[in-house]
Order: sequence, then structure tokens, then C-alpha cells
Amino acid sequence: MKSANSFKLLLVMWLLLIIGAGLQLNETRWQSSILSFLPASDSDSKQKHLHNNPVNQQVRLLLQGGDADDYSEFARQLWQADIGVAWLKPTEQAEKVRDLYAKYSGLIVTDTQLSQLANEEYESLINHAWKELSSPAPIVISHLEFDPLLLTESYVKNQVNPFVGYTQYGFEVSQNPPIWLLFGSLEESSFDREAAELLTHHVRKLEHDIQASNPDFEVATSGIAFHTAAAASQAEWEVNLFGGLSLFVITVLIWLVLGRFKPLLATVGVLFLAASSGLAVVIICFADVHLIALVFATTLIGIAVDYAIHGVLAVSYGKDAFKRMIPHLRLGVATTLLAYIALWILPFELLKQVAVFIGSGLIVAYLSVRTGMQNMLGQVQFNPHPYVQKIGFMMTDTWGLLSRRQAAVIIGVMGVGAVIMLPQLHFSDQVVGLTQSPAELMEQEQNVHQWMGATEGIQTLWVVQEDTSTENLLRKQEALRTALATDPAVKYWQMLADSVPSLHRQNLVLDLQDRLWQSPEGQAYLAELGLAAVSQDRERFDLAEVPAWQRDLLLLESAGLWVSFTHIQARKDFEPNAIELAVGMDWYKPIESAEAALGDLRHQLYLWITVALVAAFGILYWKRGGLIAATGVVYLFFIMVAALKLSQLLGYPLNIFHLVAIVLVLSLAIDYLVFFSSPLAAGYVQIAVALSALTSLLAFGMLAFSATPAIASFGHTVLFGILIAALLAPLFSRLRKSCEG
Amino acid sequence: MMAICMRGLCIISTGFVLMAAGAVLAQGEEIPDAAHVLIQPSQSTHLRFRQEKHLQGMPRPLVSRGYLELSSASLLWVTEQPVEQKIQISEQGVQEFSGQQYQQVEGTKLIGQLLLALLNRDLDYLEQYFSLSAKENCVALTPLAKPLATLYSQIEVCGEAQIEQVKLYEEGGNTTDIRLQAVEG
Repeated sequence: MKSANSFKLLLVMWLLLIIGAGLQLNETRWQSSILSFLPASDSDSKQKHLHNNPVNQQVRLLLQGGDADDYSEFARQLWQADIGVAWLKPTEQAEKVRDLYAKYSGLIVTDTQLSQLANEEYESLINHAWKELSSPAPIVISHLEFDPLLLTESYVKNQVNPFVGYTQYGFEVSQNPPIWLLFGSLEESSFDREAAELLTHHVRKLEHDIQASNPDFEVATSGIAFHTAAAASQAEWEVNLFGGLSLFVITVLIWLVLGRFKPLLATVGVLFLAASSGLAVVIICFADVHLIALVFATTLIGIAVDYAIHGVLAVSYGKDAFKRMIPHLRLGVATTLLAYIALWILPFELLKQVAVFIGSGLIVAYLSVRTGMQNMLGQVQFNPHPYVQKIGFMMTDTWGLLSRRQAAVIIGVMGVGAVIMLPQLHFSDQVVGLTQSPAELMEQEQNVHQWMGATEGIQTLWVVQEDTSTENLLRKQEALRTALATDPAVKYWQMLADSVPSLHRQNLVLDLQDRLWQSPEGQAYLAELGLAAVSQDRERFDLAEVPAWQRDLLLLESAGLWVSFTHIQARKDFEPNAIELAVGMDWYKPIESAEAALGDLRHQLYLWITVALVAAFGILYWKRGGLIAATGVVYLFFIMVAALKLSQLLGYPLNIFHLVAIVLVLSLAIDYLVFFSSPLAAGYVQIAVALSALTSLLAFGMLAFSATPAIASFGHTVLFGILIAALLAPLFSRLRKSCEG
Repeated sequence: MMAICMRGLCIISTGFVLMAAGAVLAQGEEIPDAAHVLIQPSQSTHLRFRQEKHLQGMPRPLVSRGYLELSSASLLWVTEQPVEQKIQISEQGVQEFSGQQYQQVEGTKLIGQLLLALLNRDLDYLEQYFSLSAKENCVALTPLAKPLATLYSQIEVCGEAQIEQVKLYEEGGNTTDIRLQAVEG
């Protein structure tokens, strides 16, 4: 097929791809939190459950600097806004819970009461009931005819109240100065960009409105949704900035080098086709698209432009030069694609999306150059500006002055240097360092948590539980609660069994009370109250009756299984392994799990990098001979170690994203190596590689300025890696000459 | 989460009501005319009480007796019959006497703050929560809003020279009738 027809076919395919993506666009959910895409060491199903953990949906707002009127007005307007948040209505909920506990009074008891009943410590129970009855405090919960011992009344009063009081809208965590805490639950995922931005926008707008009359009024926010919104705006800003700037600077650079409109248009055309195809494929392949993946993906411009430049320069050197260039370009594309296939294979959704975006973009870029470049540029012969050619040939000539021995010494120094630096590299798998919310948002988060009673030195743990029946879930939680209550390191927990006892427990409580009423102490107590008997014919408290807000906070149904979450706060010295968990229950520490997974991922990347070096040796040996293959591997190894060492010197601990950057650096360095060790004209190769390196440096270097440490880490390493690779690559034109010579 | 709010609310409301009577009646210029003749509370009061609880479903009232001591810093509620019990309410909250020492009850700090406000005759504070109306020699306090309104429909404070009776009408239908008598000397 003629290249003109092939190019038309490519355009048709591209159009179909864009239409496909357009149709899929409405279904796409845009995510922005890097944490939501972090891998975990746990099973997929558990990871999914935890991702959907209802606690992630919580929204907490701390209202300060105003009075009750300001807060009520803020809350009233917020509740009226249709922003997909179910707000907790404290008064209404308290009434519901009170009515529910009143209805089932006598069935809900503390573990201590249960133990007293079981041990027949009747005097203690009866004495306590008399104290309650003699107190001026109202009997709010228990119906005496069902619960003469006021067990449920005591149960409720024994619950720790972390807040001072509550109002129609929120909890009053301080009276003087008045500070309120509002709770809500986001209906969409907190990682969903649109939902998060809608909520954030409304909160800030209402805060601004109230501030018009009271400038001291402030709202501190807490919840994943607010971080999602901040990360989304940051990512969007960076995609636009890095993408736009890369494109602009690259355009200027190409204009300066070539000084012609047509090659510039052809280059921009290739970039446009590549970038739009990459985005389209990602939209078609993934339901949840990560904005941070798109920030990484802006670097496609830096790589795709290389192919366009090779194409433009080869065309300018004539049809034969273009034909000779194509196999080398294809080899370069293949090695780069191999690097992205490695990323795609890794169990890290974020990297998969980067790999799919750039991989498909590069294929389209190559096909555009292969089929369209000559058509776009026509038969017009042109050369780069003479001063550019002069610089290119000067550099080649400078390297050409090296003797074979000197080249060997340089390679040897590189090898020794790499071996010395390698043990000095230290990696960290800490998740906390990978992402960073704005300082202001973190302060607000801390502020809210302080008012919620969170203290330093306390860790949060989760127990995730799966079962086919809710009764089993509750019974296992009751056993867990007994164990937690006896561990002094455990400070607080929240579980479904605190809201509703299992049927087994309710039956046991009734049986034990019945035994009490048959005893002389029980008979005497009933006689003093004037009660003849206590009815045992009671309806049981069912989970379905627990208010949805309370139930949904800790329970979800997934694929026929009930999944429940127990939230535990404990001192740092708490030893989870000391607590025996029932079958179906597992400890889950999200951060530790993610860090363990990142550690595994890092080791997989070591393997991939080793495989890449071996593969590079094999390909170079096959195509270029033993000397180029051996020195090439030393060159790649040195670039890798030196780029990491320089990144480490910046003060950032080396992490998984530095290694991801190394994979990319290696793929680009192999490209340079392939071209410089090829029989193509050295001057042309020098210009093409220098331009490619410059454009890549611009595109990737910008990532070093990202506010997200993970992206900045990636940017630093690619920047150093490409710089070293481009400066040292001409050595291979000398080595090739040496070989040939 | 809602259940944990109930406890503080109950204890707060009781101390609140008792002290509210004193504070309301102390502010002669603010209270309704008919209650003008009521007591002027002293800074330290020793009173005996007889409490009758009329509970729904119970055939007869539950009676308890004891005394209370009122000072500028605390209120001591001591039940002598049918069981012995001591409750101390102060700025720090509510403390129950168990064995040999007082034990702080969680989530009751507000009661201490309320008490101080009441002893300092901070009528503004009370008016924030109740509307006041006179009825013969009684003052009726009606909670203005939830959550107090979910506990009490009305509170009556009656007396001639001093507080003699406090009646708590609970929202659920229970009634607590507390009769007070000053102890001479």
C-alpha cells in the first residue's frame, strides 16, 4: 500500500478512536488522589472493599469564629444545596436512636452487665437500678415493665460522649467560643473529581457568604473529598501548564532549528495525533481515569517529538535517508514500547494508564511519521539552519577526536563510577512522601481531628470482615470487642455490634434476666417496684432497624457478601497480633499495605531493569556487535546509577517513581545509542538526538516542578538521565568508527 | 454516634433545671410578676428533698429521700433512701461517689459551666434555653428548642420564700416531683 493511502487509513482509524472516546466520555470518572490508585499487598476483593470503605465518604466541617446564628445559617443553606451529601441531623438521629433503644430496652446491655447477669451478681445490678431510679435524672430510654434493671438506660449512659452537645445541625464541640462540627456522607465516591469539587465549591462559597457579615467566620474541612478536589485542580493546572509549555517551547525550538513553516506544522500534527490518540485509548480502556496519570502522560510530547524530528530531518536529507532512517526509528519505538509494556504489566493502575497513554501515543506517532511525514512535507528538500548543522557537526567532530583508547577509558570510568555509586543509593517505600495535599488543607484536617478528640501517638487500624450472614458478623464483632476492651493500648473503637446486638446475644440476655426474676432477689425487687412479672415475649432488635446513616457507615454488601469495618484507635505500642481474630476477619493497615506493595513493585522493577539491560545487550550484540553491546550496557548502567544518585543528592528519598523514571530513561538512552551506533550520518544523528534530548528535557524537566512529590521525583530522574545519556551518546559514533576502523 | 450523646444530655438537664430555678428566681427584675415573692437564694443552701418518680407502666411512684447542699462552687446531691448515693456537680462536670472517691462522668463538663452561670445569676444564659411564664406562685420553664425539648415538655418551680417544689414533666410521660425543705441552722 502506498504511504499516502496508509496515512489516510491512519487518519480514519484515528477518527474512529476519537469518536469511540467521545461516546465513552460521559461514563468516565476522573480521579485525582494518588492514594486511591496505590497498589496494596492484600487481595483484590479486600482492596476493593477498603477502597469503598464508607468511612472514606465522610465529610467533616468545623465551624469557627462565628455564633450559633452564623453556623445555623451556614448549615441550613448547605443542607438545601443539592450537592450529593447526606448530612447528619443530630437531633433527628438522636431521637431515632432513643426511640429504637427505648423499644428494645432490656435487650441491649453492656459486656459488664452481661457478665454480672451470667455470674448471678444480682445485688450489684439491683443496687445500681435503685440508684438510677433515685437520681433526679430522667429515665429516657428504658421502659420499666420490660427493663426493670434499667440495663439499656445504663448502656446508653456508659457510652463515651466525645462532644459537649448537639444542635439541630451539628455537634457543639465547644460553647465558649462556640464551635460546631457538621458530619455528612458523600453519596458518590470521595475519589470522584466532580462530586468532590461540587462539595468543595459549595462549602467555600457559603463560607464566603457568611464572611460578608462576619469576617472571622471560618470553615475547616476534613475528608478525602476535599483532598481529591485540591489534587484535581492541581493536576489539571499542571496538565495544562506542562502540556502547553512543552508544546510552546518545542514549537519555538523547532522553528529556531528548521526555520520553516511546513516541518513545524508536520511536527505539531504528529504530536496532536499522538496525544489525542493516547488520551482516547485511555478513556476507552479505563472507567476511572487518573488526572495524575495525565500529568505523567504530558511527557509523550517529549518522546513523540523525537520521532517527528527524526522524520523531518531524514526527509530533508532525501528520500533514501528517510528510508534508511525508518528501521532505526522502528527499533527505537520498539525499545521504548518495551519499557512501557513493563510499566503496564506492573500491578499499579496509575502506571498502567501512563503506559497505555504513552504506548498508544507513540505507536500513532511512529505510524504518522512512517506514513505521513513525506506526504506532509512533500518533495521539497530543506536543511536545518546552517548554524545548527555547524553545532551538530562540531559536537560530532569533538567526540571524533577521541582515540579508541580514550573512549575505552571513559567507558571504564563510567563503569567503575557506577559500581561505586550503586551501594550509595537508598530507597524508601513510604507512601506519605509520594503525595502532598496543600499545607492549608492539612492544617484544617489536623484542626478538625483535634476537635474530634484525636491525639498524638494514636494509630488507626481497621479490621475488615466478610461473611454471608450479618448475624455471624455481629457475633464475631462482639467477641472482638471483648478482646479489645481488655487491651489497655486500645483507646476507642467503632463497630456495628455497638449499635445492634446479635440475636444470639439478645436471646442470652433475656434468658439470664429470666433466671434473675426467678431468684429471691429478683422477686423482691419486682415486688418493691410493684411489678408482677417481666414479659419475655419480646420482639428482637434487627439490624434492618438501625438508622441507615449509622448502618451504612460500617457495613456494605458486595457480591452477595456482607462486609463490615471495625475502626480502632490504639496507642502505637498496640500489638494487633496479640488479638485473635475470628475466621473471616483480617487486620488491615492501608498505609503499611500500600508500602509493602510498593516494596514488591520496586523489586519487580529491579528485575525489569535487569531484563532491560540484558535485552539491550542482546539486541545490540545482534545489530551492532560485541563491543557496542558491552560498552552500551556499561553506558546504560552508568546513566541509571548516576541519574538516581543525582536525584538522591537533591534530598528526596528515592522511591518507586524514581525507578519508573529510570525505565523511561533507559528506553530513551537505548534510542540514542541505536542512532549513534547506526551507519546514519553522524551530523544528522547529532542534530536529531540533540533536538530529541532537548525536547525531552523540556517536557520531562517541567515535571520536576510539580507540587506532587511523586511526579517531581520522576521529573528529576528523567531530567538527569536524559542529560547524561544525550551528552555521552555521541561516544558510540566514535566506538562504531573504531569498530569499523 | 447518636447514642453517645444521650448521657451527657440527661445529666446536664437535671442539674440545669434545679439550678435554673434559683437563678431565674434570683433575678427579680427579669422574672414574671407573680414569682417576685419567691426566694432570694443565698450562696450556701442546705435543703432536704423528697423525690417522687411517676414512671410510665409503673403502678406506684418511686420515692427517694435525701439532702442537697448548694454552694457557689458545687451542688452535692445525696440520696439516703432507698439506697445511698452521692453526686457532685461542679465546674469540672458530674462526679459520682463510688466507694471511696468521686469518679468523673464523661461528657458532663457543660454542667459545671452551666452551674457557674446559674450561681452567677446569668439570666441571659437561661433565657437562651427556656421561655419563662408565671402561674400563681410558680414559674414555668418551657424549653425553647431541641435537644432539651426532647427531654422535657415543661419544668415548674414553685415556692413562697424559697424553692419548695420542682416538677419535671418529661417528654415521654414520666414526671419527677421534687419537694425541697430548707434545713435550719
